[in-house]
Amino acid sequence: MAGSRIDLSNENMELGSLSRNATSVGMILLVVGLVATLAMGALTGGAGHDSLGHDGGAHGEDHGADHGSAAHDDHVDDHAGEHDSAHAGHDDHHHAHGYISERSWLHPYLISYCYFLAITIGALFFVIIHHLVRAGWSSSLRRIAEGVSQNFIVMAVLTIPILLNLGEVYQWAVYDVGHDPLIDVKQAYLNEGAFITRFVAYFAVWIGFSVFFHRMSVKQDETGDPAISRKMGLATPVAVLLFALSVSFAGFDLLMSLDAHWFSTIFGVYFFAGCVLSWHAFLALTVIWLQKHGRLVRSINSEHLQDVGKMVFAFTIFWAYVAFSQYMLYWYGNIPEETGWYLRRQTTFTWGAWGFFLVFGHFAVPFLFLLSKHVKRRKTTLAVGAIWMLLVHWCDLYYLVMPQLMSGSEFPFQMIDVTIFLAMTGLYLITTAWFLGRAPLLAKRDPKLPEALAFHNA
Amino acid sequence: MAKEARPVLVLGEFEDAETLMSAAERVRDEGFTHWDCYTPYPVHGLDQKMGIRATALPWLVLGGGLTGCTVGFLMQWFMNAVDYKFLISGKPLWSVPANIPVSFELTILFSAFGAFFGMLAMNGLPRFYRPHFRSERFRRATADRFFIGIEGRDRAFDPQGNQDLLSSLGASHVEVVEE
Repeated sequence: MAGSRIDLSNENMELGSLSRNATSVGMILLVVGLVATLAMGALTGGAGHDSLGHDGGAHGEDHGADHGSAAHDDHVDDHAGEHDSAHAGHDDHHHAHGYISERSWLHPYLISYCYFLAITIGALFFVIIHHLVRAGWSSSLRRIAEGVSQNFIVMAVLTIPILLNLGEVYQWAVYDVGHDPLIDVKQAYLNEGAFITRFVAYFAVWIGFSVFFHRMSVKQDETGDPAISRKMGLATPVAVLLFALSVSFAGFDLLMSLDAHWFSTIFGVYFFAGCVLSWHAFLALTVIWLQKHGRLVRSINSEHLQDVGKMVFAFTIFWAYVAFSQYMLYWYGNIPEETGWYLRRQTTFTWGAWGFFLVFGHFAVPFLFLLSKHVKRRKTTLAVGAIWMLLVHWCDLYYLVMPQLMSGSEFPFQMIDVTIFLAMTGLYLITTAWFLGRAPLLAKRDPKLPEALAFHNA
Repeated sequence: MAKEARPVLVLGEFEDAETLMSAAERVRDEGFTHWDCYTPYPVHGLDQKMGIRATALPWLVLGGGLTGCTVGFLMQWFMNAVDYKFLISGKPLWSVPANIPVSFELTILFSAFGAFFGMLAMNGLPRFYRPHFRSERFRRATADRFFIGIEGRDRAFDPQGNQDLLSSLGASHVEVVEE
């Protein structure tokens, strides 16, 4: 409408000196996290093993600092030996069920890795869907998503420690054939070679598309050529297909295969729900932070914030919908190989309470909180909702990973779970600031931008 | 039955949405309460110019949703655990997970009822006749003209004065509709 034309001639759309702020905060988190992690590794690394009654004094310390091949091999042999004895002793013992009971530094690392991979995947999803449906309203937010999705390059590097130490968390990587028919038949899929190959493929897709969309969009900043938009649109049908497959299978590989015995076909969708949810919460905070420092104050307004809030709200519901769909079918069917995963999370008080916390903290409370449009339009309330969702999303990933290593009723929490997360948060802040600083924060000559500027919620 | 032709409506016709917007702003400031704008398509921001307060409809929807959720749980509890006890696959007679799909669907259904019937009731619909329909020109409100209508029940209703006001606000044509 003619009445609501917005003048962008004075708009500050460069990250500029803000990059230094984010980088220095990130540096502090990274250093504190790393130092504390190394200190934890030396001080408490062995505690987890002792409580489980394993004879692994030396290799507990090795986890913290040195993952030498000798120590690693010992660990594998040690473990396999116990399988036989445990298996012979009593059949209901957990060794037969396809997960590793020893705590490793890789468990918290995997949680933190999945956390930031999820945000990056969500950012790529935002860009692909924007082009797929030729969205208008999100044009003024798209460059931020493009910038954040560049983090796939960093995430690819962060995958290497997992790929080099698969046996630390995935039992299928150190598994001897013949113990569990369900894992036996999965060997063709769950083996180191296939796992690494798949991750090369996932990152080829993710990095390929995130770089493609970012490059094209930045090119349009100079030429303003609408043909570039068409070209990006033409790539999206393929992109969305490959994206769906890669994210779903990455969810299977990273998190579901922690319990190699178990399976759930909807698990990839569960992982995806967390990706899109945490990304939109991250986007809301990024926009609020940028505007607080005078960036994009005219091109993004409360109408856009309300829509980002709607996405957070929608995917809070979607997460609950998928989580319950998975739960109810297994609860109703009551088949041992399907319920095992939930049994571990319901028989101890801690994980039972954790599950209830997710039902209320990850769904019921944010659902009621984010229901009103006023909450989504006001920056302070939206920020509260976004921070809360980012916190409970970590709790959700913790719930997916950690019960897999519980042998009894003890709670596995250690400070290393927080310190590794802090270090990776720091790294992610630094790289995100770097990627956002490489191009303007606004796709300023996107033909759809005027539509975003004139956008009104009905 | 020589019924006296009583004026019940003053209609002002506008050529475009922007003139209508500024006119609506003035009509609002004049303190009219029973009046409305008629446009061929949704005009964003018109509700603010008209001074329409936020609708209470969301609360009706929320109430509908909560009712549906409660009804869903109570109904299943009564049917399965009280009235006709029936053991299904060894589950407790009343178990929450099994009740969630139905309660969820009823939450949606009752929310939709709240939204749909609440909207009808608050708009005073269905209504089969309005004096506006007596105006031939008013038909263009569904095609290419914008209208402001001031109704007879407004305290400041005054056929001549209101017509002058609308003309001065840019109405290209004004008329009085009689009963």
